[in-house]
Amino acid sequence: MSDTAAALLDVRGLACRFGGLQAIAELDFSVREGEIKAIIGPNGAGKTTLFNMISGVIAPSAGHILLSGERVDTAPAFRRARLGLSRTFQNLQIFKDMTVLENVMVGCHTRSHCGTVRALFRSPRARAEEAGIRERSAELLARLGLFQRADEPAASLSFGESKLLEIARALAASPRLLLLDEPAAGISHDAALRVGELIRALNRDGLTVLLVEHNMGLVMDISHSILVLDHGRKIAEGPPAAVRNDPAVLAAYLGEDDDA
Amino acid sequence: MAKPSDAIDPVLGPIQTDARDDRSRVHVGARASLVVVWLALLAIPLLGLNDYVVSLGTSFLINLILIGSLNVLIGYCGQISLGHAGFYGLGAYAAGILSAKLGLNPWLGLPAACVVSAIAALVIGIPALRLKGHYLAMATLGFNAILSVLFDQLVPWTGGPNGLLGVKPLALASFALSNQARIFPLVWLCAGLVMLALLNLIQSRVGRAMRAIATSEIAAQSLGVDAFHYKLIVFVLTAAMAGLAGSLYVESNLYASPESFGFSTSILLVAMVALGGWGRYAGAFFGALIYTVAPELLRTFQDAQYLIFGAGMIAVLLFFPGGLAGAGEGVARLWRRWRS
Amino acid sequence: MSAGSAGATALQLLFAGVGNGAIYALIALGFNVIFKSTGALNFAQGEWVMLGGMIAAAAISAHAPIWAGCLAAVAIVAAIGLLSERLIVAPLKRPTPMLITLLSIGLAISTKSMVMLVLGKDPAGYPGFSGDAVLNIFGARVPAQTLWIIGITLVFILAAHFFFERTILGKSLRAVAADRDAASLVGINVERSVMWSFVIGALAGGIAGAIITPQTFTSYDQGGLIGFKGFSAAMLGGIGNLYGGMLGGLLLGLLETFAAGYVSSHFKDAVAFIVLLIILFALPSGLLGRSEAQRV
Repeated sequence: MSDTAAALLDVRGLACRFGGLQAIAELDFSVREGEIKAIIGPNGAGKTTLFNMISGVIAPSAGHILLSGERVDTAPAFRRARLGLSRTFQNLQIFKDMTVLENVMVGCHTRSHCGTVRALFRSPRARAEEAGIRERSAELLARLGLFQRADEPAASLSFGESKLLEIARALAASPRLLLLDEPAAGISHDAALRVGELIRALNRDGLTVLLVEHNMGLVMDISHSILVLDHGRKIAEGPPAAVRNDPAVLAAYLGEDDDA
Repeated sequence: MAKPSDAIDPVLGPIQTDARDDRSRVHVGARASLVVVWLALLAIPLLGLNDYVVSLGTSFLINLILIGSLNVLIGYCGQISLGHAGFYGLGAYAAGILSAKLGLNPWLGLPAACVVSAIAALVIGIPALRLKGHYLAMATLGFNAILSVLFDQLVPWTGGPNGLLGVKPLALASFALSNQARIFPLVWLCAGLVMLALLNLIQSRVGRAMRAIATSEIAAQSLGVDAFHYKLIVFVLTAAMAGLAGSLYVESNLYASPESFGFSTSILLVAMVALGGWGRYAGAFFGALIYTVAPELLRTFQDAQYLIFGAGMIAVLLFFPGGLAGAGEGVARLWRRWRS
Repeated sequence: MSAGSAGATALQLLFAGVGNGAIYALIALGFNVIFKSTGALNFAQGEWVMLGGMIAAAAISAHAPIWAGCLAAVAIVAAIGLLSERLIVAPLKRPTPMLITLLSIGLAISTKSMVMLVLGKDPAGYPGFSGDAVLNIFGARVPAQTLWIIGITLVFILAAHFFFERTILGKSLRAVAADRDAASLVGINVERSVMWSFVIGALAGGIAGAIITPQTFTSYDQGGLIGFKGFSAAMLGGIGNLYGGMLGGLLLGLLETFAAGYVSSHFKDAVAFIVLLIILFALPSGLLGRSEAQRV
């Protein structure tokens, strides 16, 4: 992957203020096309706030966000999805009242077109499109090992399976950039390894990934680049080897104690 | 367990469709059941039953349009509207005024009612649906209250508290649909089309988007679903259906009065949706049945009627979240298990 | 009309408006407290107001002194609020705002019909706390009850302020309203907070009903309208904002009374509906409100 690869995501001068709290301040970074970038930092560093700003859940108080050079920070969340941005959620947001398959089918929304009138009359075009959506969703479930559960209520999945479902659903939108919010949180070591494998496989197929994660093993293992946040500011950015030994990073995580 | 990167299977044929307990599967059989029920209902006027029963049948079908549409709005799209009776009244008065006051062909009343209610829904929906939470509930309540005042006060148009008189019956050439048995087929046809359209909607891409919005609007938006757009569409569509119900009401009764269209009626309609089973397709049938039949059965206990509705609604919401439709599904499941 | 009597009329309307405004402020307070703790719109709020008046009237017609009847009514309504929460809201596994809103609709329907069955359909009333005394203030005729209403409401507002700012229970209610999960993490019993918010809401409603009845009389079907007006007041001030509700109530009372006095009394009830729609169209967050983002 060359250094001159285009920036898929550009964040410039980003800031976010909640009343008296400056959650993010003067943040600049990019995500190159085809890379896996991880955002790490101690609790309260502002990682999820940053994700929420990029995906459009909250509005920044300053700065720009660009997707392939196009400004998106004023665009509503659904428009960013249509531009190729997809995400998963730390507090799972699966559609519990639908089946596993239907969850993924919602993900296909941006890649399908039939509107209300065709839906009301169940036109042949709508039926053909439905079949295509169904097929595609089934493929994605198979890829994530959830195919056997396709017709079960999504509420019946285990925590780990639900996280995979959210990924499948996010992939259904054919994103160019996938935001993963703590994909390895709360699952077993083996499951985390498999998630890592999955992310690498998706990346090999051309998906750019930006993830927030606490599992250092996973982060060091799969990331091409790591961004470290502390108190809403960038304190380090670079390849894993560099970040691992950066004294500022160590200080942020471990504190500045001098005693042994 | 195989690694995910290995499991890129080609599609393994169609998805298994054995009956399970979740709402989407129920719909596979719903289309067939709908046809059966529909044909059965046509028997009502054909059996030569007395006018009273046939008029109950007409009322049931009109209430079905009302409650079926409201059920989709509340149960599938997650938006509480307390103005449904207002759109119902708008449709009734629009259709009635066209023939009674403007002397136009009463057939124009049906599409006119839909259009008038739809426009009203656009006007109130665009600001109200942009807000979070249940502001729509209160906006529609306020809207309904204002409509009641208008129905009451615009006497030259609506006839005021004494009601609208002089509505002309629909006619096919010289055959006037002036009694219950004659108008029944038209109402039957309209109700059937509405329920079919709603079923198609629920099972479609739009229906899924709608249900996603109701469960997690944030996740839906992140997947490219424009929540406001779909909420508005469903709101306007269901209001138009209520308007259609209103035009059928005024044509089958040749009369309309403001007290049928107040916000108390809207609140009662919501109670019926809950009792029938909100978010379940069959729930509309149960809700409409209760709404039509209960006042007749409870005639002697008229005062206690509302207590029964209120307490019933609470009981359903607490213990039988699926309403009567859910209870019915539960019984069906037990039956299947007992037989196997 | 001389300037003196025009001024007197205006002053009279002012007092009447503040009096009505006080009632709406109380109802808005009840609404807001429950909204803050559950996210739901409480449709039973208006019925609690009606209950306050009806129960007081029943007690007083059974020869209880007026003060005692009113206090008893308020206590009973507060108890009903508590019972409603314990029986209907607390058992919920997923207490979503939509579900609680729908339950409150069922509660409202049931309450109204219970009152109709038990206490009858006739309007009920009783004399004010100072009988039917009317004071003359700079030429304006002000019923003593209006002053009682304003006074009692002020006392209640001060007590509420003290409660939410100075007591542990009050502060814990605010914490739960701000962030449920964080509050439960620091050991606050979230369920109990919801219970207390219902008690406070019912208390506010019951008091409002008991003190307004001498002026308006009440009957089983008055709950819906007055609850709706209280909600409009809350929206005007910014829903969820306790002080906004009070401001909204005051403004609504004044608007209503001046519209009735200078335009037409037929208009009176419509004012609240129109205010609500204007707020929704023009300033949805209300005068003192802020829109909040959902945290994910």
